[in-house]
Amino acid sequence: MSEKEILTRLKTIVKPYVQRMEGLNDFQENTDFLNDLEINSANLVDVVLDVEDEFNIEIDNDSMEGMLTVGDAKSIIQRKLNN
Amino acid sequence: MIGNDIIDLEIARAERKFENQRFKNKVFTDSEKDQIINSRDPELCLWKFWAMKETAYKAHQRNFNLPRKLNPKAFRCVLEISNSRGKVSIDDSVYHIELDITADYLHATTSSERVFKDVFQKDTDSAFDLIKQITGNYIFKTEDLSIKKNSLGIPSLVFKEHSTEFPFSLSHHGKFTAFAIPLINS
Repeated sequence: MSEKEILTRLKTIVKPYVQRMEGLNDFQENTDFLNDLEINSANLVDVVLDVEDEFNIEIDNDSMEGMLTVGDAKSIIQRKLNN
Repeated sequence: MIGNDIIDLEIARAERKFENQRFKNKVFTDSEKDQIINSRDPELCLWKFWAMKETAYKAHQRNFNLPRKLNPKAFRCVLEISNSRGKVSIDDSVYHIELDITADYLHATTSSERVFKDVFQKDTDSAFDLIKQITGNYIFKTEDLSIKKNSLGIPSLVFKEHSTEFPFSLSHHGKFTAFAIPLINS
């Protein structure tokens, strides 16, 4: 799966949880789920679950721990897809 | 050492997390899940544990200057029988948590000192309104205070004239904003 496709799918997943919509206009690797998109931390767990469903992967607790930006999520998804 | 977390129960209850097994597995230990199931109000019990974990996380992060992490399961909660107090353990640290619960919100705080805390309904998100809320009820003037966050996102309250910074914990959820300030000289 291309990086672009991963980011497009990721953007669709996070959208319902975003509280700061301007943050979505500039959705790139540095985008921070909590600071830029103001997703609350309970909903960030929901994002992890939705990512598991969408990409058919399992995100263990060690990986979840570091999923704070779009780039973090992208790397985790890529790593799991290549396993 | 300070931490607090506010939960808007109207929003939280609507998410029906109690029925979401996968969510519970990512966030709660087996013992917490047992306590939730056996509770009279499982949804409320679940959010108590969540707020306790968040509160302890904030205090722990401030205490040790830790980078941010999404590791709720590492924070292990025990509720006292009273249900309005509890303890959270992480590594070698233990945080004592106080819970203030109304029909509309749940507010968890932890502090090693006496604490000055408040919950209010917010109209806007601005720091100015928050400061106004703090100063409105107390002796300070709005223009004397500002809010600053360090590189880890940990907030402090800055008093301009004294150029002193006070640790300060802030939480928003739904229509509520809550804060806690330790009373260091008390």
